[in-house]
Amino acid sequence: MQDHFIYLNYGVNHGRNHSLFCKWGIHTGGAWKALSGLREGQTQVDNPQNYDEAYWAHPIDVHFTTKGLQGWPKIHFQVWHQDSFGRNELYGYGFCHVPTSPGTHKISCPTWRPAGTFREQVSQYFVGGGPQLKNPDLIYSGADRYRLNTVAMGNVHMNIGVVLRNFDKYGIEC
Amino acid sequence: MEAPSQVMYIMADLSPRERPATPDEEVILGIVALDCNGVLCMRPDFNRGRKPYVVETSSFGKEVFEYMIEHASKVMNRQEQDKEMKMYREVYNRHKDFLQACVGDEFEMPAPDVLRLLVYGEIGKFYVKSLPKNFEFDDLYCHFFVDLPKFWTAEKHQQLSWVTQTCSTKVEGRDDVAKFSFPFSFELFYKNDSVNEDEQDEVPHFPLIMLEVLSLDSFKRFRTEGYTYVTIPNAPGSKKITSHCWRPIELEDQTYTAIPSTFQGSHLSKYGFRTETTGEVTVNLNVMMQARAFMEKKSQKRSLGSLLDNLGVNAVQANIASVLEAFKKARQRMMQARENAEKELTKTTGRSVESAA
Repeated sequence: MQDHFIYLNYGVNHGRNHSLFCKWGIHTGGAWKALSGLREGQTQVDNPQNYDEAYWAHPIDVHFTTKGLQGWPKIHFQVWHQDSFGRNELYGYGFCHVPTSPGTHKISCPTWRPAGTFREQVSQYFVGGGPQLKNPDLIYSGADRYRLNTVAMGNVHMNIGVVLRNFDKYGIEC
Repeated sequence: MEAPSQVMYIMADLSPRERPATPDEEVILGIVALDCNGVLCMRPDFNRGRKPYVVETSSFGKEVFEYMIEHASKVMNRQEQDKEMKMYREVYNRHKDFLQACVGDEFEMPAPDVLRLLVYGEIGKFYVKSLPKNFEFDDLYCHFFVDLPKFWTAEKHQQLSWVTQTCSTKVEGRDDVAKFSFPFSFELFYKNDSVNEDEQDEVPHFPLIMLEVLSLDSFKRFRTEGYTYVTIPNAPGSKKITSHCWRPIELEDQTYTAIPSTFQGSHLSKYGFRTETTGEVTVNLNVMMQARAFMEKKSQKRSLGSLLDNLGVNAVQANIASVLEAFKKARQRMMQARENAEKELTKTTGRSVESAA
């Protein structure tokens, strides 16, 4: 199985969306093995001149092999904002499964960030920064999420091309 | 950005013979560079019959030199070409073997006659349409579970109900939007092992995901903002589903959102049940199916048949059933024959006894 992700970009429609970058990673189950390509990475900091969206055009190219269908690859994103002092603050966590059907897919992945207490929100408004997840596993596990308080943020857009091989040999329709 | 490379210079000393050489009169005639990708680069290019390159000395009484760069290495002969090809083939084969060893041959398969259904999905967003701008009810979360119809089973440890994080909404266009991007996945098995003949041909019902969106206020009180349900698509592939939500004035049994579990009559009427529309939930579903019958279908290159055949459940089962049926009929016929024969026999023996008496 092979994935080619052609580009990533991020759209937020509120004022301060300058200088954004994104950390991404691919998480898979135990039966999966990456033969070539990188499983995680980070984009450049993009400062859009006259768009509402930051364009990263960041390529991801991974080749996976698997012994079973459990633990299909998931991509998780962390979008960060770099302010004028060079400090980085979290803008959003996002998460999506890699599509199971072959072909190219346009995907828009919504993101959120932890809200924090009222005090933290006030301090974030004036000083910047903000709460982050202590344990980023939470983005892709989803098991303990109900205790989280979050705020809706922008969307990460990507084009994904998926190529599958030999799946029909094992009686799989996808 | 340039790849690291190894560079060799071809230089000439153009100073007159009678004078010792100075660094100014050393000129670079050509560069041979080999980069890390294995590309050998010659700059400037070979002349190949074009005008020679010109170089001028900078000293007093300028002198002009012309030079040509020719490709002088021997052309590879046939044998060497073959040898190189063979070497490449060997390298590629070895790499292929290595990959093959990494991949392995085995792959998990479901039991025969079972359809395995895998769903990988995310709860994407919740668009609030008609909520009054009331910030008391701004923090939304979603509770959802999978409802299994008849003949569907899941493994014991399989999680089938989830709760997302709470998310405050954000204005996007004309809607207030809460974003969850909440992952979930589950694995189900379908096996029609009914003994009842009518049920054996039944078209399978697909599982439902029942969704409930709730809001949480600052006193940690929650209230329901919307109910909806999503049917798992009965064809494999990736689907983006937007489902509209409504909110009842009162609801006790959540399966009432689809066909209620207690429903038995002939007409389903929800008249008299008062609701209001509240918003839309987007759900992304990736559905995969696996069955041994798909393998057979592939090897036979058969085109798509009926839905039941496509689901790969009934093909083998039907064969066994028909054999059993034939056996049952044959057995009945045999029994009948034996009964008749016995009757005949008793009649004749009776008669013979009578006649003897």
